[in-house]
Amino acid sequence: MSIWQKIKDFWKNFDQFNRQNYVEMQQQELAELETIFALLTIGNFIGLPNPPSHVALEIISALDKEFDILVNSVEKSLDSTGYLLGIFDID
Amino acid sequence: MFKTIFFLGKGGVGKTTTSALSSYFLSQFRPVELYSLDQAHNLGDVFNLKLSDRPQQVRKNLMAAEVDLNFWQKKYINNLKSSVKKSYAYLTAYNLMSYLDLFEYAPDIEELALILAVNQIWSSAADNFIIFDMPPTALSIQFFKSVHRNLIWLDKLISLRKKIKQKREILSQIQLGKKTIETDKILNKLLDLQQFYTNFNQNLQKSKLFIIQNPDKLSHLEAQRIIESLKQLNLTNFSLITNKAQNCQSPQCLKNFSDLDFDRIISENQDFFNWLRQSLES
Repeated sequence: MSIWQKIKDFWKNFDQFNRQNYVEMQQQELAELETIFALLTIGNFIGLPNPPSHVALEIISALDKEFDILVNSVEKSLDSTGYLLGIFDID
Repeated sequence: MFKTIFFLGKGGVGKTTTSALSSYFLSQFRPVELYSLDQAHNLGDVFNLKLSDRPQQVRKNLMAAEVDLNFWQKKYINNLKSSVKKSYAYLTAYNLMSYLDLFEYAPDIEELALILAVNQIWSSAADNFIIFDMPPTALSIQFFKSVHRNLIWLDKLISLRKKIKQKREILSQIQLGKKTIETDKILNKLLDLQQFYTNFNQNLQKSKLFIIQNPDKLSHLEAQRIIESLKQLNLTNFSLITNKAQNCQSPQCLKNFSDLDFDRIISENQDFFNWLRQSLES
């Protein structure tokens, strides 16, 4: 294998690794944004202030995913330190 | 010129009689629609007529109605229930839909009914004067505040939802190599609602608010509190009216009257009604 090919392979792996890292970070951020949205809209189930009735009632029929997100968040909250370490790949 | 007028004030200061007299006076110049939004209606008593939810002719150029807020509340809740039923159709198999009746007791549902009723009146109004005889202070202020509060919530939720949508698009671009544009049902619903409240707020900003007080300390203090609340909501097109004032020289005073002879009261209070008409010129 020529040096040039080795550099190309290294660059390809490096690029793939960074892309994967970036995607993971973006996915984590998206998941957190979705959790915040779920907390703001249906957080009244756990005692948070709820949006005004008109806003809450208008979107309630489309919030099925947000219910799932909140249920999953409960599992995460049982081991929040582990979850945080997982985000940063710390074993 | 202001074409929508709200009469506000402490219970018993004379909002209904002042709004009825003003409507009677203004109907000389342009058709007037007068609506009572107070659930303890007595607008019909002032005109000596049995009024209902549908506008009824009181005299030439003057229509009046006593708005049934329960009707608006029920109408909204029924629409909502059918929309939820579509999404959770499987619940009908367990006969669980009756639990949705609790929507009727959602917090601030009364303000929502007021907003829907006022919006319907605005959307069906021609180039008439629209006059609202408002409920006592607490509900009236909640009505104005809820428009402001809903807009703040909608603004924040929409900006968060847009960020979520943007993140999803970035991820699809990286993972699939092309940006997939998803239809976000929640974002669309929020944007529709924001449009509704933005239009509603614009109509409020274009309205004239008359705050009624009596020449006594309690109603005066309450009127001042209403003014403070309106200022906080950027509703600055208001004027103060003193009703049941006998020895007042200001044109903003309506003198005491013993019976409801509309023509006589108007002729005896010419300064007041001229001032009222002038204050509607923008």
